[in-house]
Amino acid sequence: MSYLNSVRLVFAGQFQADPSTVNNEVRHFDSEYFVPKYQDYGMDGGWWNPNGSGAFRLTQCSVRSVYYADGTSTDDPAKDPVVGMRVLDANSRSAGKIVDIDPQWQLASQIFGMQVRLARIDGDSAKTLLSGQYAAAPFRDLWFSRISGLSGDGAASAAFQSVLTDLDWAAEPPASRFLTELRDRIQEGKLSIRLVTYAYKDDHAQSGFTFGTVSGVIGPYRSGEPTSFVAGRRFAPQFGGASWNNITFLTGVLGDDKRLLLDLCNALPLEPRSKSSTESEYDPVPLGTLTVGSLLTPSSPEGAPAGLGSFQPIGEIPYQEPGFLLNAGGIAAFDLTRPMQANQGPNGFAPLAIVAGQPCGCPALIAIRETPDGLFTGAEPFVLRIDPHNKEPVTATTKLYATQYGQRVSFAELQVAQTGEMDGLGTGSVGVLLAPVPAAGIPMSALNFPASLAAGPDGTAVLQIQATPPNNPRGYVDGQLYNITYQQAGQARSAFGPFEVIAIHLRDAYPVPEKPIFTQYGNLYPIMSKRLVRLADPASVYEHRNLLTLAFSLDIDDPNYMPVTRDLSQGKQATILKWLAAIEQDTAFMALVSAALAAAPAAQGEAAATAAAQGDGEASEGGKTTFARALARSRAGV
Amino acid sequence: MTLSAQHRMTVKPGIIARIRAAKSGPDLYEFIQAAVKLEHATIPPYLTAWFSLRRGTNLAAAEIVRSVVKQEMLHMTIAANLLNAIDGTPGINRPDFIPTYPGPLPMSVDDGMQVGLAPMSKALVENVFMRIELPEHPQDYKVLAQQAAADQYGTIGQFYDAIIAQIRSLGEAIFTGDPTRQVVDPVWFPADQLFPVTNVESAVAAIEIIKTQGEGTPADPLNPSGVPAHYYRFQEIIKGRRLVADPSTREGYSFSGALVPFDEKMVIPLQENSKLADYERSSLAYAGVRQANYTYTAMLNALHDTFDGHPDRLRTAIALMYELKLVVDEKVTNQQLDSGKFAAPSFEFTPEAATNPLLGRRSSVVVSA
Repeated sequence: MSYLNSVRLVFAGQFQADPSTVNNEVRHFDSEYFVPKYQDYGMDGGWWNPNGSGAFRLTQCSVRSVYYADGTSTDDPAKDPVVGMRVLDANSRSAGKIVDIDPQWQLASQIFGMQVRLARIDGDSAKTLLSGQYAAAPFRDLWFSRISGLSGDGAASAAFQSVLTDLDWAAEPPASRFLTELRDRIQEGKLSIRLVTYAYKDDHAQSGFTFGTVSGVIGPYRSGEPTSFVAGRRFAPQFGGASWNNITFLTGVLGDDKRLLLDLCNALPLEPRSKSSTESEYDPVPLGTLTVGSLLTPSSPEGAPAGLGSFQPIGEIPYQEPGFLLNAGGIAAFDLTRPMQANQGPNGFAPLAIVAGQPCGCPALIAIRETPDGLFTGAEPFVLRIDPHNKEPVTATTKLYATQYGQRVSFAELQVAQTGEMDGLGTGSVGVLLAPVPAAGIPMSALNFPASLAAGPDGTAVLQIQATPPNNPRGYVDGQLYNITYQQAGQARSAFGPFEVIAIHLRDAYPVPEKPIFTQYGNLYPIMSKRLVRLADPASVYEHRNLLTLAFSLDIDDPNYMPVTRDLSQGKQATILKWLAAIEQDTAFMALVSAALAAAPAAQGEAAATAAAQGDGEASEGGKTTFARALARSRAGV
Repeated sequence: MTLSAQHRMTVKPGIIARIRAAKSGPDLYEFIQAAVKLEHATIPPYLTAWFSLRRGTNLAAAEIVRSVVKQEMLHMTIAANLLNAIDGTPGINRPDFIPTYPGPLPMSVDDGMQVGLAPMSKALVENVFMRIELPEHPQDYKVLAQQAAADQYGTIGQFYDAIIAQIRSLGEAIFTGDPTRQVVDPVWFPADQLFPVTNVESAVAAIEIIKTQGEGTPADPLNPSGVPAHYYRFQEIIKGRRLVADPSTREGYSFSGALVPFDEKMVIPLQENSKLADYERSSLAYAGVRQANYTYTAMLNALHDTFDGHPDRLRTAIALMYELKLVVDEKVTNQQLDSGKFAAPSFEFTPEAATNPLLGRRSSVVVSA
């Protein structure tokens, strides 16, 4: 199913994420209280990457292995020329961008405008065999405790799943069994792609700053499947974000071919490398022998013993083999024998479980198991930008998928609810900030949807969300941030990850006067003002009006779309473009332009001193970590 | 200081003669392709000098270099339009399109002027930039006498004059190119500077823009927009003042305008003639220079696409130039090396960013020019 299927390629290398972090602190959005220090490094300033460009790039990635329909695979380029080829991003347009939906929801970052290419390098030239556009989709299953010995964003890990569209194939590709099998299976002209990102370096003084490790898988997309998650066999920790031995949420697929594929790439904890590991910085933590199998005592919880009589093994997970994450993509595959198939449909399913062998001959314990009753509910899209630009209610939709033991649940009863007011989100700066932290999630009345709905025969339901303008509840931040939880009736919240909610940015209908907008963007995206256009300076805005008009009228999936944060409502965008088109008729503004041009040039020495003084500030624990802590406090009502 | 004839860029012997011997449009392809390559070749050195100026310092000098870079991109585009107009095919996305730095400029005699990548300095401006842009008849707007037009050497100005003459001679018949390949984009370049080249008249006008923006004319150092030609703009940095009309002088102009202050102490001491191999592999400098090379190669690809029948991609190319600036400013020139210098972009072709070889349409790229 999607990338998690027999025909797949695995690639690995590095990714770069270079977001501007000034907007990690919601209180920086208040232009009235903004001070230049908020553009410097440090948790009392612009956090860990104030001059970020927003870029997201794949770099130094190569194909490690390819897998075929019959279950075999190779990592030998002589057997399949795709092995060893490079996976690269755009080579004739700007890089993709990584974007949060809102400063008060930083846990569902999306990649916009990225192009992915499979190419063979030949000396000083290259041949692109295949390229596609990466559809924007948020990461999922983010967790912060993956790497032992580290804290903060450097210890975090997440999975991005999406599709590559608008595929472009080279006219004469080399003979490759993999490419043939892949092309035969593609539906709707899309490929499925999954990235797992970890080992990120967020210290600007550190080698590898803004880079991290990526393990990727590409397979054929299949019609009818979600594009941004696998609606399959869901393993969930019993409580919180990770199991007793620090394994987090993961998904598997057991298809009609009786092959079980488990994607553990994001799920297993890591520790600094052992001497035997030559490439990766981190290796999976030894957890004993890990065996996946059917739990014959379906109510046995995590941590309980599982052995003869209560557990039917399917196979041992080779997680400690060198290259499991990077060369095999963290995917373990098992062909079920007939006795194993007996416990996995069609007349009934036993929950799957991963069991960890214990030393000293003690009984193996359940490390992590499938959700209670095998229930899993997914939502796509997971992140919505809703724009009631004409003051009329608008309807946005998201599709819910209900499965049980990987099978769609026809006519499942689904329940959805707003989380309601959330206080204290999106803040973490130390030092005194005068702006108040807005409450998120209110007014609840701005969103309307049924509390329950029934899936159709295919186990999916379209949730219609009627939205009206929230009327600027957050003051200095546009619109409002909402969370919606979803589940099948009877499903426990613990079966869902802590950030596994639908996140909505509901925009305001009325544009406010636009000059503050430019000032706000200039504050929050300092690289713009420092290097390109000084957005708070009327003369600079006037000089670059053509460039701004161009950038503000691009499609949201264009890598050069402005604002990079993609949080501009349609009403404001239309107002800005109209204003730019008629800028010379804004006499008050043009007076400011004349005044700015007539002013004496800045004293050189003073400007230089400011430029040179990029102080280090205090070490930060990371943007996402800080956000998650604020969220936890908010949920605890602290 | 007087710059003599030997210190200008000298075109290899034979080139002008071969232009004059051209009997058809295709006979001119290699020379116009060479012009595209030449106009590009000054961009990395000028960009490096621009990147070496710290934010907020040496603002006037920064503005001068930036505006010259923008015009060189315009000149590249004009030359590409000319080549497309006579049904040639500009080739931009190849490793040999980028000169080796330090080295001679395209078409230049090998033992002549060498151009490298270096941080901004008055010496660089005077000894390199002004020599690149040296007019056929430079006007000396000071006390010193005017240059004589002594000329057994071929200059760039004469090169373009020869192209103009041959186009006139060969006439309208050579303009067989597809007019939809002409690049225009009023957002970046006004219509009187970048316009479609479709016939002898427009071709001559287009080349004249390259000439007058670069070197002005003997009578007038200002281009039609009233801005001094490149040579004189660079001279403003040396003289420390803007060149303005001055009826009190015999020449009609003098460096008596607004101050152009230049403080060399504020310049970032960049690694000269930077190469990726100069940097330690695990360093941030290495990662930054590598990314800058990738982005720069992508920019050349976008320009190639633009000149290859997709004129609407010019803005993508310019967006990549901005992206290059961000990468250089934030990931390269802020990395100090053990030597005390700072990392600099190396403008090396990056194979990973290479685009697929042209299929079908022949390329006008010829190695010899």
